Amino acid sequence: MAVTKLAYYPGCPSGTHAIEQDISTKALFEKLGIELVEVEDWNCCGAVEIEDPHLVYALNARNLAIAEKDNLDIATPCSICFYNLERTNRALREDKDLSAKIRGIDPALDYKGTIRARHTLDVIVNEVGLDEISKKVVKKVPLKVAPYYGCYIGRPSEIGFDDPDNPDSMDRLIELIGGEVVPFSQMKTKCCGGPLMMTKGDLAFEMTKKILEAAKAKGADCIVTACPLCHMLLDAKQPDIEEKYSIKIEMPVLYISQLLGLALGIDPKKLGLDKNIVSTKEIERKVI
Amino acid sequence: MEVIELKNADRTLPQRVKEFGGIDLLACYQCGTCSSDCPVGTEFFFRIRRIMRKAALGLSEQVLPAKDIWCCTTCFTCFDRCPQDAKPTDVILALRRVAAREGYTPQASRNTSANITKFGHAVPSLEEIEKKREAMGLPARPPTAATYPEAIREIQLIVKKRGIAEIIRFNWEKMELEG
Amino acid sequence: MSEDKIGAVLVVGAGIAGMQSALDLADSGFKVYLLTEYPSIGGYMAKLDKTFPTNDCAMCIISPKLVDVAGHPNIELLTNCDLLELSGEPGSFKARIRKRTRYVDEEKCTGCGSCISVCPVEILDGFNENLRGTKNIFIPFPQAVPLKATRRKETCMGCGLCKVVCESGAIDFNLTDSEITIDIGSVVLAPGYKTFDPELMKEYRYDHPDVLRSIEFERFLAPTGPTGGHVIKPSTGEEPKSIAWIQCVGSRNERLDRGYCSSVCCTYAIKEAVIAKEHVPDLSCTIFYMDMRTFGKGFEEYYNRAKDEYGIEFIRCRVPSVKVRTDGGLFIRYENEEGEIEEREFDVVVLSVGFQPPDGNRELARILGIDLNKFGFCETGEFTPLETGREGIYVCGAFVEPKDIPETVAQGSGASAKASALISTSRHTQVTEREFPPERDVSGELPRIGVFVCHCGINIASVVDVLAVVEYAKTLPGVVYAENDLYACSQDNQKHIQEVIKEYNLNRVIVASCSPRTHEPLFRNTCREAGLNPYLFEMANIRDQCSWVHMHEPEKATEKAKDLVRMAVAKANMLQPLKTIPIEMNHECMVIGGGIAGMTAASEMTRQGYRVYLIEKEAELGGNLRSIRYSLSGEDPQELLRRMIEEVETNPMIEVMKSTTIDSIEGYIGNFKVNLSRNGEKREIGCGVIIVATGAEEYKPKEYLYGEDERIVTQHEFEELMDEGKLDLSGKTVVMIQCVGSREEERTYCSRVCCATAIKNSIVIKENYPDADVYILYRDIRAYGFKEEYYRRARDLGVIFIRYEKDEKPEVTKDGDLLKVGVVDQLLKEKFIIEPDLLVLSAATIPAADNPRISELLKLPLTEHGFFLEAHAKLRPVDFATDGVFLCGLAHSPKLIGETVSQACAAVSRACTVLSRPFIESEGTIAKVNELICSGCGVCVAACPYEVPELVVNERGALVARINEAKCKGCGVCGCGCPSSAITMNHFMDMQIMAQIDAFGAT
Repeated sequence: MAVTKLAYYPGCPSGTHAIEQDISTKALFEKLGIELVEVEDWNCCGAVEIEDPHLVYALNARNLAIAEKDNLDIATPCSICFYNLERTNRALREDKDLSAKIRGIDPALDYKGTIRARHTLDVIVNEVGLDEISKKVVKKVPLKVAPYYGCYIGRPSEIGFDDPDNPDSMDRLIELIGGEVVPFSQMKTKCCGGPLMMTKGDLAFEMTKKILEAAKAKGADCIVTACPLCHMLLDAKQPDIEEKYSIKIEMPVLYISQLLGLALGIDPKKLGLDKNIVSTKEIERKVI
Repeated sequence: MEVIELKNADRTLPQRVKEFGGIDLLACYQCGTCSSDCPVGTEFFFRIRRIMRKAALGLSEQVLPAKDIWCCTTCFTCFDRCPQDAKPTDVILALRRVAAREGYTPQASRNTSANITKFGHAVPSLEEIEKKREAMGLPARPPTAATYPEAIREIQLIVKKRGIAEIIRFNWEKMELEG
Repeated sequence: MSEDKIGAVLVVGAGIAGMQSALDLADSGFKVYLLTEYPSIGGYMAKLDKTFPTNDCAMCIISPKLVDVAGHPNIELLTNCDLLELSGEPGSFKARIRKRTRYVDEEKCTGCGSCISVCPVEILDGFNENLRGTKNIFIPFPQAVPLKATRRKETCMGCGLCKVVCESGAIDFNLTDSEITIDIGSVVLAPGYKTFDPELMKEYRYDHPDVLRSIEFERFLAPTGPTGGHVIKPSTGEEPKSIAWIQCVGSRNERLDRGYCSSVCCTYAIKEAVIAKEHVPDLSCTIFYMDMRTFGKGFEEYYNRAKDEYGIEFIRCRVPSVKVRTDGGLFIRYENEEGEIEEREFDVVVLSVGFQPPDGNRELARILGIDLNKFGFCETGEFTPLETGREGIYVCGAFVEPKDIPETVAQGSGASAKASALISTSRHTQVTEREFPPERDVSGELPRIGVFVCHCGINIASVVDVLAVVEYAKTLPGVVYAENDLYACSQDNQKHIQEVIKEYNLNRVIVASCSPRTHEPLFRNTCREAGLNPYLFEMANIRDQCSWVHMHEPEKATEKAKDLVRMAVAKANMLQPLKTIPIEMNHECMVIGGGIAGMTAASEMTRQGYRVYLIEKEAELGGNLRSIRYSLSGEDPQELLRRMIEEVETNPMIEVMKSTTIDSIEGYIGNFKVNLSRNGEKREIGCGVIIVATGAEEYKPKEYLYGEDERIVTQHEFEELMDEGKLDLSGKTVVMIQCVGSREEERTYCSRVCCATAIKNSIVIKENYPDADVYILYRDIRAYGFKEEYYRRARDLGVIFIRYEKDEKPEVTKDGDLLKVGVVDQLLKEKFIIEPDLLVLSAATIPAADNPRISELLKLPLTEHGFFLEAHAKLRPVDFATDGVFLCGLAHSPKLIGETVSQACAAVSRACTVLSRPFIESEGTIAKVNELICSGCGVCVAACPYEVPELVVNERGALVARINEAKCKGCGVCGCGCPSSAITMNHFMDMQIMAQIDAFGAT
């Protein structure tokens, strides 16, 4: 295994509603033998910014420049952060005028274009590799799992690291740890409406409801996801969705780092499983 | 059927869209790929193709005030599928920037921005949450910008410098939105 | 440049372009090396089932060419070969070629197929697009040329069973590749294309068994394909109820770096849908498209028939993805024209894949030292589509730009003209004359008839009981031999027929198969090569006239086939050998029309070594080119015009006659006499061939207030005004309206050039006046081939395209001094009012007003629209049915400058297959007068449409009719009209026809 150390960009949700993704990712990487060094004084990636197209480049150039000082690639568990970081990376590498313009704003934004930004799921599946992971699997997770990827893992295809229409990084992990992937291919990458949560909540709820109902209809024991915004809608907002539409879903939603962590024998508390809103007790019970 | 005199169309709109990031707006040849796979399109009448068209034609009164452009979830499906690489998602974001500067920011976004300006958070701390926190032995407010006035002042500085207050029509004296 | 030019040409690629090129060259006195990397010639066309717009069977129209190539003494086939190196200079190249071994001795292999049947190893069948397996030792398709087995070494088990069963001992695993070097004067490149791989667009779910590429669907339709010509839903094997075609897969796609249009997919999808419906009448066929690009001759009418007669559904929306339900069902989600999102299920989805450059294109470019364009196709000039930029190397077909078969065939011929012009002084130096065995004298013999009844795959055999017909034939008087053949026209079958003729001492041959129109020459030639007079051959058409029209009544069809064979036998018993005579000919050429087509043809003709008369009715040369001032690529059309005019006017071998009209034309191929008038002066000129290049005209619109305001002009008028500096469009508004006078009730065809012209002119305006507003109102944008890129350029420059419908046309009105154009945008369903400062109408290209007169003079047919009608829409685009007369340019149909140049060169190449002969051979099937019976009444003289019979006083002093054997076309009118029955029609004598009629009445 080539990679032993990565710069870690937690992303804004990791300190708050996605805290369980943060701690489970850290626990998982420790188990996998990769040292994560948090990017010092990292700033927000800009998420889905509105105001100015160059703002994203400026914000992320700073993060990239910091990681570049230590000559480390950046790994982040947040899909949107990954998109912004890597998109900035490519743009600054390919467009010399843009790079000069950004550098001209502030010396802290002097990124030379020598590192990469990667999603932690990408690192797990494509750097560490399934063979390495299987050596570390100590428990079986015989569950029916619906892998929900969301938008940014595959799209746009020039940035995304998995197939935009039928990604399979999580599918392969689920199978590796003894799980069964439910037929979920139509919903895998169908947008949950996350970015509209604040401004058009009802639309977002409608779109998320479709995903939850599909998973339930296919007999899934749980949904697994890799994006904190998707997780928020699917998990934290699930009771609100149930209330709004007067339906019962009761579908646990785990981060892939949590599910994988269970298979690698990490203590559920260290994976933050008590922080998920929809109870994951049933899931924990089934791990053998 | 609506009748529009194209001489009254907003010639500056395509140019402004390009400046604000929708650089390939004019590449669109109205094939319908984007509208057909849009996840929001199945929920209600949000049609990317028509928005691209209206932006290219300069039909500002139809495109900028409408709620359509704020319904995009930036899922990038259209971006990924567009055969002419017109980057519709970027066009939508650009249209939002143009619309916001003309005073068409949706109320929800204005509220969120106002909250960030006032409290440092999109969702301000609610009294009942504060009581629950205290009951659990936690400080009433978490150690974020909400608790540090200097941080809020820095945020307000950014808001002032970027002209966001004008865009959302935020009144500094009253520390409230105008309307 | 070496003075010793070599009279041989290397043609790289043996699809329809390469074959056409090779045949033209070989028929014009040059030796041809026809090279292909594949084991057989034929290319993609051999894989197609039917061809648009005539729905001809592809194999049927191509097999005579396959056999021609196979048997041509001047063509040396180099199949399974690769070009390794080209050295030397134009006129004297050396080509080093690797011959990859088949592990089969080509001299010994008979193509019997025994080895194939015993081979235990299966490999994917490339000819059938990997839809089924074939054996490790294989013949690609039944009509393959050469018909030899080829063994694949990598997958061979080494069992040797093939060697055991091979009766000729042809298989040898120890054979190795070899290298040869050949000397040639020039090279023609025709490597073709390959299709787009949908793996690059996973959203289309090509991994699903019911999602097919169009070329795979084509194999399903073909009778030699994996389903025997049955349309099936692959996952179930049953007939589908609904099929969707998705257009533009891998084309018009900037995201995949394939921003060009593949030109043919719209029309081929319509064809596949129409043919599929013929197979399965209640099939629902839906085509999802962006613009319907049916711009070729006859294509718009084909599109209309598909809609009106076949009920094919057309939905204008590009499909973003193919979706699969958990039960495996396919569905497509799309936005319809009302803006609603609809979902439709389909049993089968066909991806209309686009064209890519062929494999090995970079290597080929490197070896030949030529440039490729950014997509990997050959780089050529807009006005010089046949030139690679390297002298001595010419190019044609899809490798230049995606194109359809008629364009490809024209370019194949065109490239021949270019390639042979370089070495024209060495004509006839490397060829072998075709030698036939001496003709056997059958006079005094009783008829010994051989009957060959063809299956034609399933075309005949699926309806007619071929074996029953064979058995029946054996009982007929005069028949000593009868057999059934799977494909009578295949090359190996010709050898077989010849062997049977010799073995059974046949003196009459009947083939009961398809149409004599396409295959009679082929079988007549077979007889001739067996030493039999070719007129001792008769055909019974049991396909077009039997199995195809009675496909639902097999028993009756079989009885009818027997009737047809009985009638053919009755006539065959009466057939006589006939002679043809050599006729002296004139080796000069007349070109009618001095536009770019005529001037190009004239110029190219002189480079072939022949003199030309160039006739132009106006006082100036140039035709429509005079109005064209701009081009898409930036090359200057006026510079082309000046150069061509100077070339033809200073060329000592061209006599230019301006202000000259034609009074009459008489004669026949090799001996035309043309009477001309010029300012009252008369002149008679003789020539051997005539090229019709009379051009066309720009329609003067009656619609949109044209003529009522000087701000309303046509595209030609716009270019002239713009070029002459008479327009200042700064800050102004320009509106262009497409399809003015085209695609209408009175004129249903598409004028083809207008979309490119409008786009070109809109770019000219925007580049000169960036602040001008330009709107183009269109129905479909037909910017085919690489022109698609200019469509994108126009949009990037800010040109706005607004789509309107045929039944909701734009309205042009005058409001005081303002011009107003009202148009309903079909996407937004909103009406836009535009106030143009200039309104440019893309007016139709209409046939030249003179066409009916020329048609009369030359006895040439016109299409329903008034353009000239060629001999065959697909395979003979520049020939007329009348021998010795050729066609090119706008006289054929609307086209662009580059296309005109290709066709003009093609007409020259075709004409040279005539002019290169020392003499003309007359027809055998002509009229003969029995002067003893003839009363000199003159009815035949009045009746003959070719003015052939003359009344003369013969040696005995009697006034009789005399028919010039060289001029007679054998039409039969005189034979019918003669009141004394003094005229017999050779090969259609009264007693022969009566025998047929009697046989018909008998049982």
